[in-house]
Order: sequence, then structure tokens, then C-alpha cells
Amino acid sequence: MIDAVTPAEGTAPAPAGRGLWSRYLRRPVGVAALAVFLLVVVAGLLAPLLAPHDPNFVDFALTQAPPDSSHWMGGDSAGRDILSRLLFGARTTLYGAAVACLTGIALGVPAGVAAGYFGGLTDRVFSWISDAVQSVPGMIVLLIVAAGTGADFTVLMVTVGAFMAPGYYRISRSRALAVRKEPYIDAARVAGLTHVKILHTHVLRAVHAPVIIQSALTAGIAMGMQTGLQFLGIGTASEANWGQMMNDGFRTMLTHPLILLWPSAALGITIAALAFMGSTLADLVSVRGEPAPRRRRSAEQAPEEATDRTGALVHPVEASALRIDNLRVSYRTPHGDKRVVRGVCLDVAPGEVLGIVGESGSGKSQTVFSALDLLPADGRATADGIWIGGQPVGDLSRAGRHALLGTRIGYVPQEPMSNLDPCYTVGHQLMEPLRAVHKLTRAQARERAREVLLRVGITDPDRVLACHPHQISGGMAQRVLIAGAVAGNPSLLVADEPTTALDVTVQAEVLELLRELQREYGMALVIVTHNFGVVADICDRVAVMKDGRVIETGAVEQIFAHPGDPYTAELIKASQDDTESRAELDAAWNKAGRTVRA
Amino acid sequence: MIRFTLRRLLSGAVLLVVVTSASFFLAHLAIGDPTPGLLGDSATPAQRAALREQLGLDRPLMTQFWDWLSHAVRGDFGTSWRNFQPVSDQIELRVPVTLSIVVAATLLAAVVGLVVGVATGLNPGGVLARVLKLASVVLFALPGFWVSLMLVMAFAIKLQWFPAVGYVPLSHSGTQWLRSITLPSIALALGAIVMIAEQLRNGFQEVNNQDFVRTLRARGLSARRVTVHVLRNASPAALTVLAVMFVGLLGGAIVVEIIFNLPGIGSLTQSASQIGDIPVLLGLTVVTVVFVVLVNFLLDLVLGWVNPKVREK
Amino acid sequence: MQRIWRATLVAVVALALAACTNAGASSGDGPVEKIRIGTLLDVTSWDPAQADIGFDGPYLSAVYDPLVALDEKSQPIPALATSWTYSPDRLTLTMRLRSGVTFTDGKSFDAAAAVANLNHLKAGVRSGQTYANVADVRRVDAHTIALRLKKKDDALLYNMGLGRSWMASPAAIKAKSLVARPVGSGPYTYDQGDSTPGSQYAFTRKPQHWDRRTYPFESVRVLPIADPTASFNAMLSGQLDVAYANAADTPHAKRNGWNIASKVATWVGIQFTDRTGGQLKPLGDVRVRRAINHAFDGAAILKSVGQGAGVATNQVFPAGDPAYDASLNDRYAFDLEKAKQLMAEAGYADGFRVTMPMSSIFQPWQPAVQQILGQIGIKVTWKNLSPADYQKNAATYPMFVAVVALDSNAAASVDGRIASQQWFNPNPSTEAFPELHGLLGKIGATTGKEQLAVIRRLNAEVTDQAWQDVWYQADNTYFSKKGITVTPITGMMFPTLRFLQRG
Repeated sequence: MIDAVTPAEGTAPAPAGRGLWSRYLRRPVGVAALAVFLLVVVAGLLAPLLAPHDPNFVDFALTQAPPDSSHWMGGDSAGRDILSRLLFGARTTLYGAAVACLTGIALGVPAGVAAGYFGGLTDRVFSWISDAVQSVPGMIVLLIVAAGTGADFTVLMVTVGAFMAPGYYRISRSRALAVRKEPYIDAARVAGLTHVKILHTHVLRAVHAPVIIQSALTAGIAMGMQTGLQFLGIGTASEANWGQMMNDGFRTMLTHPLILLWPSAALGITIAALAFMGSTLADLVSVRGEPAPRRRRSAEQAPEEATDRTGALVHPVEASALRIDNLRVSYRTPHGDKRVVRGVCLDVAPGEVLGIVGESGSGKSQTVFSALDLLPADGRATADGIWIGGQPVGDLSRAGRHALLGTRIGYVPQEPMSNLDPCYTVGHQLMEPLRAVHKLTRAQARERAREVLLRVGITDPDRVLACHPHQISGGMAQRVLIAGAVAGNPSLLVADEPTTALDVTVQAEVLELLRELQREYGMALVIVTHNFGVVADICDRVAVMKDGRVIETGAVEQIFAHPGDPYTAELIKASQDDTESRAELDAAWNKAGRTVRA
Repeated sequence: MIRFTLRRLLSGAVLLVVVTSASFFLAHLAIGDPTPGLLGDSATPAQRAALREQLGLDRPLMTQFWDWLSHAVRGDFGTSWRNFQPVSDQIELRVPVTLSIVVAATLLAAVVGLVVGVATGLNPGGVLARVLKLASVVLFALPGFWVSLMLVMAFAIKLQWFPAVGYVPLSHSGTQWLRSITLPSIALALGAIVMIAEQLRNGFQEVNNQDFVRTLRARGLSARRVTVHVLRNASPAALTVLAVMFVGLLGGAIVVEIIFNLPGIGSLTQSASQIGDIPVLLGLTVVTVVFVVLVNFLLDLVLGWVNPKVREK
Repeated sequence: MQRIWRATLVAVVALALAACTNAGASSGDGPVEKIRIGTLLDVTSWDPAQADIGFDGPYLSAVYDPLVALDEKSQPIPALATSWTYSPDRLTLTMRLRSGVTFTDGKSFDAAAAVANLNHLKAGVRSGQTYANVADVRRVDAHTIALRLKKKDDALLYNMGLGRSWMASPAAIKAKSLVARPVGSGPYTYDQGDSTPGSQYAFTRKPQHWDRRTYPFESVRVLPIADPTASFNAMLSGQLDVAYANAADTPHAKRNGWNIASKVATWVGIQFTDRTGGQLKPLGDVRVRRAINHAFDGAAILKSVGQGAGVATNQVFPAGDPAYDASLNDRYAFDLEKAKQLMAEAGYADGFRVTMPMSSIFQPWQPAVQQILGQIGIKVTWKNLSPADYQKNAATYPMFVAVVALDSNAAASVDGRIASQQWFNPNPSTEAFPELHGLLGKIGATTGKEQLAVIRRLNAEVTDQAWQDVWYQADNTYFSKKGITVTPITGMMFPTLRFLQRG
């Protein structure tokens, strides 16, 4: 049985309900598809009024007749009016599709919701059954069922639906699973809501949109199956249905191609409408969504919003490791461009540690990604100038800029586990850039990888090299990532929230390590953080960002002593009040004191 | 790894037994007394009774079931009720035909789906991506036999590049075999190609947005090398679709085998179901489920290789 | 990526090369040496006792010789039996056998072999009916056998010639190995290595055969193609030289310059299984059966659903047969008013209800039947059956839409279509019709011209009694490429190889 690829699976639920439909109605393709589909439904419902003739009336003179004024589409092989049969056929065809969908929903959705919500044995049993159904050659079963029931249309469509149930099962299960993990469900449980109530209010709401998408696909498949079964000689001719009409046309297609054309067109258009409805809905439900419309020209033509430069450039160009002058970053969204960085200036010299501090959404990460040319595809950065190692990169080709990565620039990401490729060993991930970028031999690369692992404090490098990412701890993974960043001997190290995802006990160690490495290699270090504790621990200078602007820069001591902006003061206070990591911060303070004193 | 393998094999065996047992009862209950249809023309009640006795249909259903099962586990599926030839002989003759087109279609779907999926994944707004999207809707909307017929019209009748009907065994002639399975495999694969490509494109975009891809770029790896990483991470979902598709292709093979007149298990399924030849139908069910179980097993091994985390779960 | 492109390119080139070699079948001038035949069904069995007459002809006639063959007028002619004589009481048939014939396993054909074969055929589930009247077969001398009959059987030689007297090696019969592989003495050898069961059967002409002249083609391939469109496509693509055809494609075939041969093969209409009213009282009234006959416009149905391929008639004797009587065709002219009047006379002015079986094969006629019976007040409830079930169960309903094979032998038609129990005619109930019963008795007692006259009277009586409602006799149609002619034989759904000739 062909199983529909479910585009909604594995994507986060978007707010469903009325918002979804109003957004749907703003999509021209979706509206057109919906209109076509509704037209077919209405045509089927009103067939008795619309049809010019009795769909089953046989007029031998009409056999395979070409269209004329009273029979707009001509006659079929039995001498019946094709147009009337097409209209009445819509009923049967849609009825069959509805039966298949309802069967699939009735079998798949409750089981999927139960499996995802309760987990455990329920999940295992239902999942096994679902897998089993998917391994059954559905066509054989359909043929057996057809032989046994004299090809009863409803029974056949119920059978088709049963084979479509695993599709419904899987989407409902993954939806329910996702909802189950949401904190508000626990809250609801604590508040005394029953399972039934929770399922009703929360889970069903999350499940309904994917189920509708799946139904659009299932309905299309069921209609296709109807024609397939008719082709195999299974089904009835007494009631008009498109499958039977296509089969009739297929038998006479060489001599009377029109007989095949009409039902093919009707079926094709209806299934296509369903497919477009499904994909439009899927786009709306999925966070992945469609890439924003490519409007290269208009994006360039969009008037540059006049922005003031913010921040400060304190080093001469030639003495800077990184210099960013008036950086603007914007993202294309379906609703137009969204500006996230507005005129940022900053620089850092070799051997210096610069902290970029701000809350999430302040544009600090976008700033460093722009510097590294690692913005996502829909992001766009412009600047008056970016210099790396004193060289302007604006003149470099894409490849030329890319060549700086891993050689001149090292990058330490925020979340250690998600920044290692789960499919490859640590060794492979450390050695691949060394071999591909630095042209080391396999043995040399391995030696270098061991060396940096040892340097970042991993005592058994050979075991770690052979490990897959899921086999090592978060702290160790961050050490691996730092090792990867420095393995290429960069002169500039960019660390994006390097400690945020780590246990408090590990945070200080990692910062310590970064500091040591920075000194040892004489690198410039740019560290992005929201935590002034980190700044205090490691930075020489700091740039405070808010809403895509630098609101304050200066030496760490100066900023701590006299925050120039109330926002900075607030940030400092927030870091100190962070009760969760109170003890850790104290330790960090002490250490910072020591380091500063040292 | 061995435990993983054994567990998958055991689960496959259980599935096989459950599905075929269910099919046994379904077939017997649905088809009932097959003897009049088998004897055809002018069978007397006495002749029918004799045939029923000869076929062992006069025994209780459970006895028949145990008898069938105990023989089936030894690979003996009995004899066809139509021509009294061993079921396994007939299936053996026909399996290579269906496997040829289904495997060729799977490979075709995998290769073309991969190329198109990657190309559109790398350039999601490009022309190819739009073509793929349109093709997916068109192929979804058109019934399989329609597409097959158009292929025949164009490439067999107009251009005469490939035969319109028939199958030449591989042992007979390699090129002739290839020619005879080309159009059926393409007809079978078209829908699958689009599904694989869509799955890969989606997976590609999803993986592309993951953090480690940025980190790989930051290490200076070329776009090609990064693509390999992305592909490996996107492939499990596509492979799963491919495996599910394999089951679908076995079903789709019925229509394709009829249009191209191929003596495969699909056309045998159809003819056996029309005359109610239960031993043949059950044999076919077993064979098909075995294929499905094997493919799923292979899939698990490949998934374990692609992403080692799966293996340890 | 580059590697993938390269691999794709290689695959495409390989395919293109494969496509180029051998593209287009060889269509040289000169006499046709090789023919490829597309027929509807796969061979049922290589064992003549388990084979069907219908579509097995081309397969079995390649590898087996029959005792008796038919000529183009369906008259029995000598084959392995070189001559035969009936005893005066027509209860003993003595056959003289050909000598010097050997089977492919080296065994000679002789009287003992013929006796073994006939006993095997008599015991066969499918072939047994032909020999139902044969009491025993005995060897007279090395090249003579005698069949002793329980009662006179005027259809015996015809049925043997139709495809019930294929002679197989007695050793293979004894070993029961025929199911797997044929062992005969026919004009061709079965080339197993070159065949794909279910798809293609290859036969090579023997250098020596007693009837070599009748089989001019050096090699014969038979391809069973169940789907009519696939068969026509194969013909269009040049993969077939002869095909069992769909009459709807005839205009297309003409345009391609193919030979088109057709002859009536079946009757199409409504079969009554209950002419005494035991199951459905109205059908016991001849006026109701006549009303149904009047209600259907056979010619119109033939022209529309039947694509005009056939003869509009209400008889079960094939058009052109000596027993066929064209003057009877007007007996039930299409007349709805007359039909309604007859229904009223029979007391069914308001009609009645009937349940009829239906299956995909008969669907083309279903809407017409529903509508026309409805017009004379008969409300039909359809019971859907699978094609297999239809043959099993259709005759358990009082009436059903039928397509029944015809026979090109009057005696065989009388027996098969009227007098004896068949799947479509489980209750002949002839004794309930004294006039008809008497005629059947007379047929049993007469032969030759005298018998034919009685059969013609029987035909008239059957028609008058509206024994069934025949709309028309449908053709079987065969297309063949230039240089090959097919002579259809009513009684064979696909003719045996002797009816495929150059020309």
C-alpha cells in the first residue's frame, strides 16, 4: 500500500484553530484548490438537479457518440450520457474516498493518540500492529476481499481505509507525543484534569490539522485505488463512478479517446485539488514552511533604512583581528524583510577577549554569524566593511571568504550535543577538516586530533575519537568542539554562548580552558553571552547589545563599575540575582578576582 | 549488534506467522467453496464432493490450518487448485519477474529521487524544485495504469525503443532483459521517485537548519563535504519511505504486470484471486510478506549503519 | 554529487544502448518463417485430459497430433487416425491408425498408445465429457482400435477434432509427468529453454513430420496476453504477428493494413435456468419468456455494446450452420408494446421482481438489461459476484446475462446448448416440453440429412418456446500481419495451428 509521506510529521505544532483557516484563506493556491474541491462536492450533491439526463439511461444511439448539443460530453460505451454520469460519479467517488478516510481516522487516530500519550506497552502494541499492517501486501488482501464480497464498494473502501490507518496512526502518535512533553500538560495534570479532558482539550487540538492534511492525501489515494480496482475488474457498473468511467474509456481509448479524457480530467483535477489543499495546509502547520518568496531584485531595491552606527572601533584596522563596521542584518519573511542587526560596529585585537552581551534576540549571534558568513540562506548582511586579520573581506569571493573558516577563524558553538553530527565518530569530525582543509595525511590528522583533545583536557583521546556523539557527555562534547575550533590554529576564536548549555560545575572549567587556549595561542577571542558572570570571568572588553544595536562598549572593569546604560545595569543585576547558579557565580567571581589579580 | 539482529529477525518471524495466519482464515472465509469454479463447465455434485475431498476441504478449518502451516514452515505450500502444480514451483518461476521490476523501480526511485531531492534541497526555490512540486501533484493525481499506457504509447509503439509487452529472463539475454523491464520499472518508479525526492528535499532542509551543519561550515569544510553530512542525516527518513514504498510497489506491480503482460507474482495474484485458488494466494502472501520483512530488516541494518544511535536503542 | 551524476549518465547511456540494439522487429520480405501469436489465456495444462478446448488449441496443437482433426468447415478429417467406420448400429467406431509416428520420448504411436490415451481422456475431469457415451476402447490390432458406445453419439468425432483427441506418450501419461512437460508427436517441439511460462512459449518445427506441409512456419511463439489493450499494443509495437483481438480495434487494424478474420463464437443474451417456474413462477409462462425476447433490441445491442461484431439472431445454432434458419430471426422482432401486452396476458401487467447475478465481465450489458427489463415491469436486484463466482453460481439464479460458446456441429449444438446439463443450463427440463422432448428423441434415432431436418424443426420449436433470450451471436476476431491468414473455427476460442497459414 502506498503510504503518503506526511509532511507534518516531526514538526512542531503551530497554533491551530481559527487562525489556521484565516491564514489558509490568504493563500491563493489553497483557495483555488479549495474552490475546485468544493465545486466537485457541490456538483456531486446537486447532481440530480444539474445532470441533464438520467445517468443510467441507455440509449443505444448514444453509444460512444461524440459530444453534441444535448449530450455535451457524448455517450459512453453502453450508451449513457457521460456528463450526467460524471456528475453522479462525483457522489460515488467522493463517498468512497470519505469511507476510506473515516475508516483510517477511526482506526488510526485513537490508537495513535493513545500510543503517543500513554506510551509504554500501549505504544509498543499499537506500533507493532501498525508496522504489521504496513507489511501486509494490501493489494492481495483487497483482491481476496473483493473475491469474497462480490466487490462490494463500501467494503472495499473500508479495506483501503484500514490500510491507510498506519499513516493516521503515525501522525497522531507523534503529535500526541509532542504534546505530552509540553510542560502545560503536566501543569494540567497537577491541576487535577483527567486524561480524557486533557486529550480532548489539548491533544485533539494538536492532532486535527495533521489529520486533515493526511485525509487530503488519503482521499486522493483512495480515488486512485478506485480506478486501479476497476482496472483489475473489481467493482460495479450499476452506479456511476469515475473509476468505472475511466476503465470504460481505457478500453476504447484508441478509437474514442474522449471517453477516457472526461473522467481522467475530473479525477485528475479533484486529486490535484486535494494535493494542493494538503500541501498548503502542511506549509501553514509546519514551522519549516516555505522558503520566503525569492525577491532578489526587490530585496535589493528595498530602501536601506537609515541607521546610525552604534558601538565603537578602538583598534587601527591593521592591528585588528576582527573589525565590523556598520553591520546590518535582515531576514526575508513571508511578511517582508525583518531587520535584526542595525548598524553594529565592533573590533577586537589579537590577544584580546571581547564579550558581546545581550538578551536573546538582541542580535549578538547574528552579528558574529555575519562576520563568519554563516547566516542562514534567508538572512542578508550588509556592512560598510568587515576586516579579518586586518584584511577587508568585502572584496573576497564567497569561496575566498569560506577559506578563512577553519584556518584563520575558529568557532565554538553554544549547544554541544546538537553541534556534533550524530552520524559520525568524534574522530571523523575532528579529522575531516584537518585532512580536507589543512591537507594533512590521515596519520597526521589523527595525531593532531589526539594532541588537541589532550590539550582540552581529555585524558583518553583514543577512546573519545572512536566514540559517536551520543556516547559522550555534554561537557566532553563541548571540549571536543573547542578542540575542533582550535585544531586549525586560528588567530580568531568566536565562541557563541559556549557555556550556556552546560552544567554549572562544567561551565567554569570550560571558560578556564578557553582563557588558557586564548593565551597560549595568542588568539583574539570573541565570546557571545547573555551572562555578565562570564564577561567578568574572561573578557577584556565588552559590547552590550540590545535590539540589534550596541548600546555600550568599554573595558570590563569600567562597565562593571559604571554601567553607562540602565539596561547594562539591569543585565549585571540579573546575572548576579541568578539564584539557580548562585554558588557557581560566587565561585566564578572569586576566580575572576583571582585571574584579574594574577 | 547480534542481539539487535536476532530481535529484528524474531519480530519478523512473528509478523510473518500472524499475517499469513490471518490471510488463511480471511481467504477461506471470503472465498468459501471453490470447487465449482475450479471444475468449471459441467461438474456434478459428486465430482465436486470428490474434489473437495481430494483438496481436503471436507475437514474442519482448524485441521486444514494446522496442516497448511506445518507444511508451509517447511516451504511446502501445496498444489494449485487450478492446474495441480506445486505452488512453490509457480511462485519460483514468477518471483524473478516481479523482483526484477520492483528492485529496478526501487533503485531507480532511490537514485533519481536522491539526485532530484538533493538538487532541490540545495536550491529549494529553484526551477527544479518547482518542477518537482508540480510533478508530485500530477503523478499523484494520475492513476498508475494511465501513466503506464502513455509510456507504452510513446516508447513502445511510436518510438519502438522498448517492447510493449513481455519479459525476457536475465539468464536468457542481459540486454533483452533490461529492455523488457525498462518501461515497467519506470512506470512503477515514477510515483516513488517523486515521493523519495520530496522526502529528501524536506529532510535536507530540516537537517540544513540544524546547528552542526553550521559548525561543519565553520570548520571550513567545502559545500560538497557538508552536503555529504546533511545527506547522511537526511537519509534515514528517506530510506524508511523507500522501504514502505517497496511494499507499495509490490502492490502496484499487479497493474503494471497486467499492462505489460509480465508473468510475475502480481498477475498470478490477480488470476488466482479470480478463480479462488487459495493455496496460490496464500503462497503469494507468504512470499510477499517475507520480502517485506527482509526489506525492513535490511532497512534496520542500514539505518543502524547510517546513524549508530538507532542500533543501541 | 559528481559521482552521482556520472553514475546516472552511465545508466542512461546503457539504457539507450539497450534500446538501440534490436530495436524494431525484423520485417524482411519473403515468406513469413517465424510467427508470434498473442492469445487471451495461458495454457491450462499440458495434459490433454486437463486442458480446455477454448484457448488451449495453439499450444497443444504445436506439440500433439490429434486422432481426428477438423477441416475449415468443421468436418472431421483424418490425422493420427487415417480412417474410421461406424458399425451399422453406430455403436462401434473402428479407427485405423497411422504408423511410423513416434513421440518425442522415442516411444512409438500404436493401438496400445491410443487406447491408453483415450482411457486417460475419458477419465479426465475436463475431457471426460466428450467420452461420456464411450463404454470402452479396445485394441483390435497393432494399428486399429475400436470404441464401443453406450448410445449413438453424433458429436463424438467433432468433439475429438475440436481438441479432445490429442495423443500423448503413454509413458508420460503413466508417469503423470504431462502436467509439467508435454510429450507428444506434434509438428513442433516445445523449446523449454527459450520459453518463459506464463509469458512466452517457443516451438520449433520438426524436420520430419507426417503432416509437415500443414504447418509452414519454422518457429512459433505463443504469448498469452490477458489484457486486450496490452495485446493490441504488442501488435502495434511489432511484437506479435497474430493476435486475438478486440473488435473495437478493427478500424485501427484496417488502417494498419492487417488481415482481419472473424467468425461467430458465442451467443450473448439472457439464459433462463428455470423454464418450469419452479424457482420463479413467471418464467414458467412462455408468454413472459417471449415478452423478454421481444423487449430486447438485439441488433441495437450488437451495434453498440457488441461493436457490430457478430450477427443479430435469436438462435443458438451458429449463423451459416445448416441448422441455422434465417427466417426464425423475425420471430421476436423488437417490440416493447408487444412485450408489455404479453406480460399483461400472462398476468404480470405490474411486472415482478428478480435477482440476477453480475460480474465485471458482464457489466457492459448490465445497464441495458436493467433498463429494458424495467420497461416491461421486471425489477432487477443485482447480486455482485467475482468472475470465478459467476461461473459457479450464476446458474443458481432463475435468469442471468450469459455469453455461451457455440458449436459448429449441429448434433453437438443440440446436446451442448439444449439437451444436456451444463454449467449454464443445470435443468434442461426438456421432458416438461413434450413437443421438444419428442424431437430430441427423433434426433437420437436418425442420422444425416434426415437428422438435420429434425434438428431444424427443433431449432424452430426452441425458438418458439423462448428457450432463452439470445440477442446476437458475437464474433471472435483475429488480427494478423500481412502474409499470414487465420481461419476461425466456431467452437474453438482460438483456432489450432493448422488454421494459421501463409497468405
